[in-house]
Amino acid sequence: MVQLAVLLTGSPTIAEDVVQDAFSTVIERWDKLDNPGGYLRTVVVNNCHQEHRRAKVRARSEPPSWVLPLDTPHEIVELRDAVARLSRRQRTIVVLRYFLDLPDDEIANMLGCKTSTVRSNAHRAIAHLRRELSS
Amino acid sequence: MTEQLEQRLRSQLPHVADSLSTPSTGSVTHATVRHRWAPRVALLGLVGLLATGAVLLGQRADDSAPQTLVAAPLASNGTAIEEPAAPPGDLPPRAEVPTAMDETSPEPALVTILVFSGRPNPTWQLTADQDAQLQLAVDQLTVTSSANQPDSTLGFNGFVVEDFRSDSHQGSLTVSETVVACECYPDGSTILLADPNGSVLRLLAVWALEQPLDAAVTSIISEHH
Repeated sequence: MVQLAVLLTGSPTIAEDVVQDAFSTVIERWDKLDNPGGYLRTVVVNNCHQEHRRAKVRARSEPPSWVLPLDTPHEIVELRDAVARLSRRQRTIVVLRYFLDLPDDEIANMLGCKTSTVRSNAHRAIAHLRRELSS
Repeated sequence: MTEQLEQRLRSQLPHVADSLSTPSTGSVTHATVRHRWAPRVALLGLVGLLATGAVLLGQRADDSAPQTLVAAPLASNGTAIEEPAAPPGDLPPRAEVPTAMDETSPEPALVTILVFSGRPNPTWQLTADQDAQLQLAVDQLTVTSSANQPDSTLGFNGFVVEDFRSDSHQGSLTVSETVVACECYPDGSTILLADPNGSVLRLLAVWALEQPLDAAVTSIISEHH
């Protein structure tokens, strides 16, 4: 969950906050949850989006500044930069699709949109990444 | 080419996550931050361990089944409102979304009502007429550097308009009472637009009330109408 939040926010400290809050939310409602794992994942994604919006307004500028260790291989840095430049929605879909390996219909369910919207956003994200990574 | 890229994403995204989670070697700042955060991280680890174990013990066999319980947001007066359960497939009603994969065809702007925390927020697709009205309203706002967007709270936090395109702005709008923040495509920069009269929020609130929402959400949005 922390890794999911890290990929969505770009910050391990924010990610830990987000996941901690999400676990608190789940524990508060534990007795009434049918699917705690799915609920937790949804809360993490929603909290990352809220945190992202707040951070964007605070910074008033740049895409998320993701800091990697100095010895990170070039291709990882390149991929990080390209993913960080995706729009929030596209980044979320890419992470849920390729990091968590969730099917499109489940991603659509989490994000409250149609499966076709997930597919079209994923297609745009891939096209964007292909351009970024080939340049 | 696409398959190669998809394969690369699958194999390298975990490394990106790992790298982002790993402190820079020899970085004083990281060390300081880690030291300051150590108690919270330890607590998080403990809570995570307990909750993960509990999840594993209590989770249904079918992990993909949608949850039926939702977070309880608060109305602006602090009263808890009851969110309805989200049975399988009970997504907010929406207009048809084009299935075209042509990246050059503009997608209609998608509006999300920021009201829930533990379930998908209600959304709807703007009609062409609404899109035109919204473009007009947003283009009349002036850029500001002094406004602050309010922190999000439980309950109604405004709207997000994705894939918004007007003559002046293109990107994702976060609409709150007196400020509209535009996260611009493609560079990701954010500009703030002052909306002292809340005209954009009220415009979206009117359209939101035309959507088939549950009573509690309608009641909250009506306060901003």
